Amino acid sequence: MIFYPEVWLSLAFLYFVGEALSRRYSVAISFSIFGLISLAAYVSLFSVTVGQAPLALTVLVISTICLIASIFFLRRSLTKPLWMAARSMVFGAFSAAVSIITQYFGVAGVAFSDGFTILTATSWIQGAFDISPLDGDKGVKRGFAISAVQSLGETGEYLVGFIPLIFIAAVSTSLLIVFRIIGDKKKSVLVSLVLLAMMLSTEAIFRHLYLMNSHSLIWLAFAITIMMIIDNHGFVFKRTLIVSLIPLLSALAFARLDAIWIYAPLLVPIALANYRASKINGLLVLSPVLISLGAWLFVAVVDFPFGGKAGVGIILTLAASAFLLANWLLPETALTAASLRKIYYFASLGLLLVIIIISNRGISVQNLFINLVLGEGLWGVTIVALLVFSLLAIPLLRRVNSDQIVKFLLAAGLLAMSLYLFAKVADGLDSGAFTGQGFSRIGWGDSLNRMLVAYIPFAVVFVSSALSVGANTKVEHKFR
Amino acid sequence: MLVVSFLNLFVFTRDVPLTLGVRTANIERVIDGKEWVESPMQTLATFMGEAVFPNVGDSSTGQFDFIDRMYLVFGDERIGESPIVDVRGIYDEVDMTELRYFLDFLGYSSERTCPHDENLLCEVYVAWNRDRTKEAGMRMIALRFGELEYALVDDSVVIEG
Repeated sequence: MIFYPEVWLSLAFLYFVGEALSRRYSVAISFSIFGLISLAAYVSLFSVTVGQAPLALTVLVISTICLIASIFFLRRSLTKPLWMAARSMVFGAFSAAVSIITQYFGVAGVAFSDGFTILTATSWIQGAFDISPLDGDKGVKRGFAISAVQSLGETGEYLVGFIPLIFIAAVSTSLLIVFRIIGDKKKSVLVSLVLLAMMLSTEAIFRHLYLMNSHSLIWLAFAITIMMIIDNHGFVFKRTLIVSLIPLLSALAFARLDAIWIYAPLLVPIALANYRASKINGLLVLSPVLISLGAWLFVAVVDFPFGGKAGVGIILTLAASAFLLANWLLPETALTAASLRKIYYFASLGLLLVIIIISNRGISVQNLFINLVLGEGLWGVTIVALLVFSLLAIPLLRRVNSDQIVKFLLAAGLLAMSLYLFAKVADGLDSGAFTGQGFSRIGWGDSLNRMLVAYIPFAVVFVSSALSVGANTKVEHKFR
Repeated sequence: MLVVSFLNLFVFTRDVPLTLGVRTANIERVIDGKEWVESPMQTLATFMGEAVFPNVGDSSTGQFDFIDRMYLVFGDERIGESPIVDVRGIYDEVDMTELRYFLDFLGYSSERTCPHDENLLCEVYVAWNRDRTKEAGMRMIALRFGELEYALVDDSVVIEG
C-alpha cells in the first residue's frame, strides 16, 4: 500500500482556500483538484527545466503557503473557520480513501495508447530520461496536466487513485446543476438519481472513472463553470470567485491544446464581461490561460506543430490581440446572454456547414451511427434515449419561460461541440486522415466518441430545463 | 430513463470498463507489461483499421463471441470463415515459447467465452508488431495455442504451412 500524505494534505489545504474564496463546497472541491493539477504542472515544468525537485513535497509547500495567505487575506470574511478546516480534512481523507480502495482492489483503467503516452511523459517529468516525449500533433493532443499530476506518485510510478477523484467531482457537479435549474428539491433528487443511474450504466462514461486521460477534467471544468454562471446569473463575478477560477483555467490550459478551444464559448464572455467591469479581474481570467498554455507548449512540447517555439509566442500574442479587439469592437448589448445565444447559434451553423463541406461526411456519419446507436462506442441506448427525449422536449422548451442564462448555455454547448468537430476535421486535413475516415471512426477509442463525456453538463442543462416545466425555474441556492 | 440503465447494463454491447487486480503502479511495467486490459474488439477497432481476418471460424468449427461486432466494424469482405488454427499440434516447444513471449510482450488479453465451448472462459490475446499498425491488408490470424488460450496475431508471427 502506498501513501501519498503530501498529495492528500495539499488537496485538503487547497479545499480550504477554495471554500474561503467561493463559499461553495462544490467550487472548493474543484478548486482543490484543479489547484493540485496546476501546481503539479508548474512544479513539473520547473523540474524539467531548472533541475529535479521533490515534486509532491514542493506542491505541499506551495499549497501550505496558499492556505496561510488565504487565512491572512480573507480572515475578516471567514465564517466558522474550524468547520471549514474540518471539511478540508474530510475532503483530504476522502481523497486518501479513494486511493487506498483503488490500491486494495488493484483498480486501473483500460489499456489505451493515449494513457501510455501520458505516463511516458510522467516518467520524463520524474527524471527517467531527458527528452520530452510530447512531440508535435500527438504532444499537443495528449496535453500536460494529467502527466504532471501523475508525477506526484512515487518515482517511476503514477499517482494511484487520483483520476477517480476528478470523475466523482465531475459527476457530482453535473448533478448539482439539476438542483440549480429545476429548483424543486424532490423533483431534483429524482432526476439526479435517474441521471446518475444512466451515467454509471453507460460504459462509455463509466470507463472514465479510471481512464488515464483528460476528458473528465474538461467535463468537470464545464460543469463547475456552468454552475458558477447560473449562480451568478451572468458572467460578472466577484474578485474572490474569479480567483477561485484561476486553478481551473490554468489546469484546462495545461490539459490539451483543444481544451481551451472548446471552452472558449464560456471563457470569452466571462473574460470580456469581467475585463469591462474591472481590468484587473479580466486579466485574472486571461492570464492563467495564456501563461499556462505558453509555459507547457514552450517547455514540454518538442516541435510545436504551428511554427515551433516561435509559433507558440505568435499564437498567444494573436489570442491576446483578438481578445482586445473583441473588447473594443463588441458593444455592451452584444455581451448579454440573449445576444450571445444568437451569435453562438450563428457561429455553430457556420462551423457545421464548413465541416459538412470539407469532411468525408458519409463515412463519418456512418461511423457515428455505429458508435452512438449500434453500440460500438459503448454508449448503449443512452444517446438514443437523449435524442428521443430531445424530440419530445423541444416543443416543451419553447413553452417554458426558461432563464436566458439556461438558453445561452444550450447555445454554448452546441458551439463547444462544433468547435471540437472543426478542430478534429482540421487535424484530419493536416494529417491526411480525413479523406479516409472523416471526423469519426468506429469504436470507443475514437476521440470524438471519448470526448462526448465532456459535454455531459450541457446535456444535464438541457434535460433539467425541459423537466423544469411547471416548476419554479428561478435559481435555487439550497445546495452548495 | 431507468429502462435505459437496464438496457445499458444487460442488453447492449459492453466491454471491460476497468482493469482489476493490478498490483503495480510502475509506469514501465504498465506500459510494457500489459498490466491494463482491453477487450479484443476495442483493440481491433482502434488499431486494425486496415487489417483482414481470414480465419475467424464459423458456428460449426467455433468462433469468437465478438464475431458479429467484427462483421459490423470490418465488413464481410475483410473477414474469412476458415477455421481457427490449432497450433498445439503444429508448433514445437521453441515455437510455442516464442509465441507466448510475443503475446506477453506485445499482446492485450481479455477473458472471453471460448470459441470451442460457450460454457467456458478463455484468455484471448490480440498482438501485433507495432510497426505494422494500420498496415493495409495486414492479415490477423486466429490461433488456438492452449486448452483455454486463443490469439489473434499478425501474419509475420505465424509459421506458414
